[in-house]
Formats: sequence, C-alpha cells, structure tokens
Amino acid sequence: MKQVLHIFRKDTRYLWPEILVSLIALYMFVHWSPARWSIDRTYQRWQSMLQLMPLLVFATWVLLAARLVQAENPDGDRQWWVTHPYEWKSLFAAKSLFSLVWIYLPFIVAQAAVLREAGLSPFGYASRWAAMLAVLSGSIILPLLVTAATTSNFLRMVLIACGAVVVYIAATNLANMPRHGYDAVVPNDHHMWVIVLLIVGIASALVLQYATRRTWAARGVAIGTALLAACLTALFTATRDSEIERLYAVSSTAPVQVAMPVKTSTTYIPPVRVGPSERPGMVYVQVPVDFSGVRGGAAVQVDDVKIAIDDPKTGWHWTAPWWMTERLQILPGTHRGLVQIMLTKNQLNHIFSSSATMQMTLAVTELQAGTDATVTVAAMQNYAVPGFGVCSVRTMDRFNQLICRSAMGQPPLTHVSATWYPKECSADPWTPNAPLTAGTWAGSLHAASTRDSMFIVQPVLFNLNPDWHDGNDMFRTVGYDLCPDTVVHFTQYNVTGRARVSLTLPSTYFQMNVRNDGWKEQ
Amino acid sequence: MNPDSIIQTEGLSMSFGLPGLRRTEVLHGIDMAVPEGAIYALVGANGAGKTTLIKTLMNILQPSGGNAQVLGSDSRVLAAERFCEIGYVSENQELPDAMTVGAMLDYTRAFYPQWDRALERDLVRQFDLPLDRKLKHLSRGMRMKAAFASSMAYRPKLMVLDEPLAGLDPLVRDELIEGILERAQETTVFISSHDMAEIESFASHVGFMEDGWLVFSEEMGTLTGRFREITITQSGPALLPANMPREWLLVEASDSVIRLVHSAYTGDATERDLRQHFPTARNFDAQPMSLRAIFLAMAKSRRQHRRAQGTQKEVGA
Repeated sequence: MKQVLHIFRKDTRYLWPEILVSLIALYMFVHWSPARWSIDRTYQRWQSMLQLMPLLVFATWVLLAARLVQAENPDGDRQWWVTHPYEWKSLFAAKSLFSLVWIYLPFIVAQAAVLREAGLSPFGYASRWAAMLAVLSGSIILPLLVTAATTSNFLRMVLIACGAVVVYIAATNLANMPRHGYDAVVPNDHHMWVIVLLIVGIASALVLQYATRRTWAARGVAIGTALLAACLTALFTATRDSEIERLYAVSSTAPVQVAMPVKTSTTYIPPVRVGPSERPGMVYVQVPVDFSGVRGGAAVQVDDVKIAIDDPKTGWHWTAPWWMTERLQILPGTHRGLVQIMLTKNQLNHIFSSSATMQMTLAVTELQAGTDATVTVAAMQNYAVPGFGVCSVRTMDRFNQLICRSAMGQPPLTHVSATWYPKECSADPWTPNAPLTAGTWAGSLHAASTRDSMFIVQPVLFNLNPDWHDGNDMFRTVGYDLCPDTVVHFTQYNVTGRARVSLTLPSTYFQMNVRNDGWKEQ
Repeated sequence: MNPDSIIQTEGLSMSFGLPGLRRTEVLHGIDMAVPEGAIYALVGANGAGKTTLIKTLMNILQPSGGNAQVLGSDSRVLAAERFCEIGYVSENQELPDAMTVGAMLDYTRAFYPQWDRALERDLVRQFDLPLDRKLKHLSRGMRMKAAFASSMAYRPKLMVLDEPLAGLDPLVRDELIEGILERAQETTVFISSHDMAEIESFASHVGFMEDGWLVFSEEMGTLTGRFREITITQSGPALLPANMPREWLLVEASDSVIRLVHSAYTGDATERDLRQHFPTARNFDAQPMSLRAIFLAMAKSRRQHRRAQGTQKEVGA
C-alpha cells in the first residue's frame, strides 16, 4: 500500500497540468449543462458550446490516460521503472487509484452537480449510475488505458485510437447493411452484454500487460475482445428479426385493430406522402392508418414495422426486414396515425404501376396505465414529478410551455395531459374560448437504455399542445395557453404484453391518395 | 550452477519474430558465469548481442531457450525483491525526465529499504550533480551520472551497466570509472562496452561476444596471459605448415618473417611447439597483447574463418 500511495503521489505531482485541464473541461461541461434544459434564454446561446463539451472532456482524458500510463510504460524495453523494485500489482493499483481519483470521481461529482442544478436528486438512481459508469469504463476509460499501456508513445496511441474508431464505424455500417441502414428496436437490449464483455476483456488485457509486459499478448486479448464485441453486436443486429418475431407473437385477440382510413362525407383522409429519403436510392412513404379497439385504461405502442409487397401478375415479391417506426402510442378510441416506411424507387414503382398489394405488419406493445402524478402550474417554477423528472414552465412568444428533464436517460413511458385555456387565460374573440383537454406521450419504454445514459440529464422531448383542427386541413395551436393553476397529469404506462397485427393495402390505395413531397419517378 | 556465481547462464538463447516466420536468433546458447566480486566486462562490436543478453538477464526480455540465474533467481521471474539488490544503468534508458535530479533521488529512495543517505550525498558531491535541474535539461554525461548515483546509493550487490561510457567525454568517463571502482569492493560489476582500452584498466573478467555467440569468457589475467603476438624470423623463405593448429590466428608470411597471434600461449612449451613447426627459424619473438589487440585479432580471425567456410561452400556447390 505504501508503494501504491508513493506512485500515486508522484503521478499527481507531475501530472497536475493534465489533471487541471481535465477538471476545467469538466467544470465547463457542468457550467454549460443547463443549456440542455434551462428556461433561461441566456443559456440557449451555449447550446453549440455544449455539443463540444463531451468531446473536450474526452480529449483531456485521452491526454491524462496517456501521460498516466506512459509515465511507467509497460510497453518497451528501455523504461527506467522495469529495473527498479516496482511490484506490478502496486503499479497497477496506483494507476487504478489515480484513474478513480482524477477521472471517475470528478466525473461523478460533476454529474451529481449537473443533477442538482437540474433540480434532480443525485441519489436514488443506483441502476442508472451503475449503467452509466459501466458504459464509461467499457467504452472509454478502459480502452484508453489499454491503448496507452500497449503503445510506446502518445502519437501511436492517438493513431491507434483513431484507427479503432474508423474500424468501429465501418463494422457498424457493415452489420447494418442488410437493413439498408435502418435499425429495429427489440425490447431486450443486449447492448449491456457487449459492455460487460468489453469491461472484462479489456481489464484482463490491462492486467496481463502489467503482470507480464508481453505487449503482443495483451494486444491480442484487447483486439480479440473488441472483435468479439463487434461480432456480438453484428449477431444481435442480424438476429433482430427473429427476436422480434419471437417476442411479438401473432395473437387472435389483438390489443388493437388497424384499418385503412375510409373517406366519408365528414371525415378527412390525409394523403399517402412520398418523399426523398436521406438514404441514397430510397424514398420514405407515410401511410395513414386507423387504430381502434384499445381497451379502457390500456394503450398500445407501435414499435417496429415490416412490409411485404406481392404482385400476383408478375409473381414479384419482396419482404423488408423489421424497421423501427416513429413511436406511435394509441389510447382507447379511434385514432389515426402515420406509419412511415422506406422503399427503393423500384419497389415504389411496383406499388404504383401494378396490381400489387402491400402487407404491413406492426409489432405492438400493450400497455396498462399505472401510477398517476399531478402538478399544478405556476409560472417560472420547477416541479418535481415523482418517477418522471423535473418540469418547468417556459414562456415562449407569450405562451407558456412545459419543459421537463429526467436523470440519466428518458423517463418511463408517460402520458402527459392538461386542460388548456384561451390565450392569456381569458376569453379572446379570435380563438375558441372553451377549454380544451389535450395530451401527449413522453419518455420511453426503454428508459434505461445504456446508450442514452451518458448524458446525466436528459431533456424530455414532448409537444404538449392543444392541437385543434380549423376545418381547413390545418392543425393549429394558437390561442391556447397553460394558465396558472392548470393541473397537468402524468400517467405512467407499464408493459402487459406484445403482439403482431397486420393490414393489407391494395395498390389502388396508394394510387388514389398519393401526395408527392418532392420525389420524382425515375 | 555454481553457488559462487552472481550471474550464471546455461544455453541461454533469444530470438525475435514469430516461430517459423523470419525468426532471427540473436543469442546462441550462452554459457557464462560471473563470480561474486568480479568486474566482468562484456565486450563485442555493435550488434554482437551484448544489450540483448543484459536485457534478458534483467527480465526486460524473455529468453526463448536455456536459463539464467541472477543473484540466485531465475531471470524470468526476477522481480521487485531482487531489484532491491541490483543497480542497472543503460546508455539508452528512458529516465523520468520530468523530475529534477533531487526529485528522482527522493522518489527512488522510497523503493529501497537499505538506501544510504550519506552515500547519496557523497555521490551527488562526487558527480557534482545539480539537484534542482530537470533530467531532461541535463547533458548526456550528467544524465548518466544521475542514473549512476540513483543506482549506487542503496549499495547494490550487483551493478549491471550497459554501455555506460559510450559517447561521454573523457572527464565524465574518468569520474564514472572512479565511481565504479570506489564501490567495486562491495559489489559485483557487470559492464558491457566496446571501448577496450578503458575496460582493460579495471575489469577482472572479460567475455567476448560476436554475432550472438559468447566466444570466450574468462579472467582478464588468463586472457592476456594466453594471447601473444608471435614474430618468427626464418633463415630462408617463410613457409607455412600444411596443418596449422587452431590456436594460431591471423597467420601471415612475408619474405622470411611469419607473424601470427597465438591464443594459447604458455611460454617455453609454446616456443618448443613453434620450433617443431618452424625448424629453420632463426628468432622467435612473443609480445603481450592489449585487450583491444586481442579483440581485433579474434574478430578478424573469425571473419577470415567465415569467409573461408563460405568459399568452401561455394566450391562444394
């Protein structure tokens, strides 16, 4: 222990400039963090700076890790320390202690400070703290340390780190190629297994390097771990379709019915919109669908969509992989929603120019209303919403808006509803003067997703507006306001089951309703 | 294993590269023993394998065959406990450059329970070390002296010095050699160098390495005693015998004079043996050789031998 502290003190004494730089970067991260959620307009100017902060903090850690490890570099045969009475365990422990004290601890303190600043308690999110620290260790700190310990100098370390990032991006794109770049969502997020593998494998490589100084063996273990993690990620991606089909069973008692909208004299059918996608050679198609049959107290969320196109005349058939949809949540009653899919221009031409039919299958999660919380609005105050986060009222263009944030990831899926009153909380001749109750969805069923948890405070994005139809194909929100003393309800929904529901759409449906959003037939 | 040996190796070999793929053998079955109290000089040209041998002994590199014992421990498991008794200084060692000389001594002191503060002060004074200067701002000579001081202040049982004198000015060399000799009574010194003149002045034992082979390893007195530069003056033209003994190196004949290096000279017995080979010789002259001359004779002789072997192979082919 004496040797551990001796080495630790030496490192702290000689690496104080690097420590200082990393602490300044963290301080800036804390200082500008309120820009993510604050109602203070002055913070809005810092949004762009805030985007750079994680990168800046990461860069200071790269420097700190390199200088820390390479002060007594286990790689190479000219190092001063290797012929002195260092115990490798003490050296390893000293470097670990330094990482804990000067990387992890300031990071945890900074994140706790951000939570406090946001009005959230730093305590009480044990599993999310653990997930965040696991992601930090497995994907940032340990890879940095092992790269530093298996390279002879800082420049090589940076080159290898850059190479690893390029390989990671290439491998991810390669694994996603069969899905045309679109991902699917599965309820069981296996990402944490990859993180656990990275932590165990890379920590083993680090220990091996310190214990034996066999650099190629340690590099082998580290590279092997990274490859295994990449293969696992690719495997999870490749098996998502079968995983979705296993989890979302075809049921005779579907939790929701889906149907093509039927135009009547009083109802309006939005068109099927077709437009250019950001993916080369692909177009997006937004298909309006009517949902009904959700039982009282329940709700349904559409998670993924799969389409199959059949042309009986030509025998042409095409089945897409499962794709993630824009989250659609359906409450009891009849609701119209837009399901967005991606097609190549060739596939779309088949739909328009032939007698093809499209079968659309939706993977839906059945939900049941759970705990309910209410807050009463008063201007410019923070409200703690139990199990959800903290919300504030922001005045934009003379209208009040509700903005919320949650700790380490999105809150659980919640339906937020409120009663809206005419503009400035008084009767106005230009707008309807009757109160209007409206709601929206916030949060996520995959709230603890490890990928979301790196930012300690997540702004909860939702649009709580009393949309009303003015009879001219326009949704309007103007004229309604969240007034003081308005009660806002936050109802959490819990998963009760999963199912698949299907709908067959003939080509005539597309041919009659299409609205071109800039897509040109080639 | 000889219990009196501080360092002993048996068939120690070392190769770089993956097995079967352009593997380069840099140490070939080294058998060597360094007795306690010796000043053992390992000599050889650049690239002979001296540094690799030392790094293998110090567990910086792992041998690929054979074994080495250092202070009674297998070199492959040489660790902190043994390094408390070993002082290692190398010409190409990476020192903690960010530290001042004083800070390096302070930092190093904590690793050695037997550190002698009085000796440390003596060494700092003797080497005229600036305690408040950073190592990275010191000249090469000063850096070596600082490394020496930090490796001597705990009175190690074994000093391992890899080319410590290379590239230093004469004054610094003298200071360092003086420092080594002052502590030679209480420590065994294993020093590698290609500077024969300096080594000869203080080494008690010498080992000669070439192309990864340890050509010889013996006491300095025995070595200089058995090597002689022989000049034989014949009464007629100089004729060389058909089968020359292996102990004769660099044999040259011109007019009536034959010159050779005898590597197993034993005085009168050698002279009698030479008379049998050269019955018409008028005069024999045997001159002692410096270590440098012995080293050059060995190196040239082995080069000639290799050339001859190469020619034979070509002829055979």
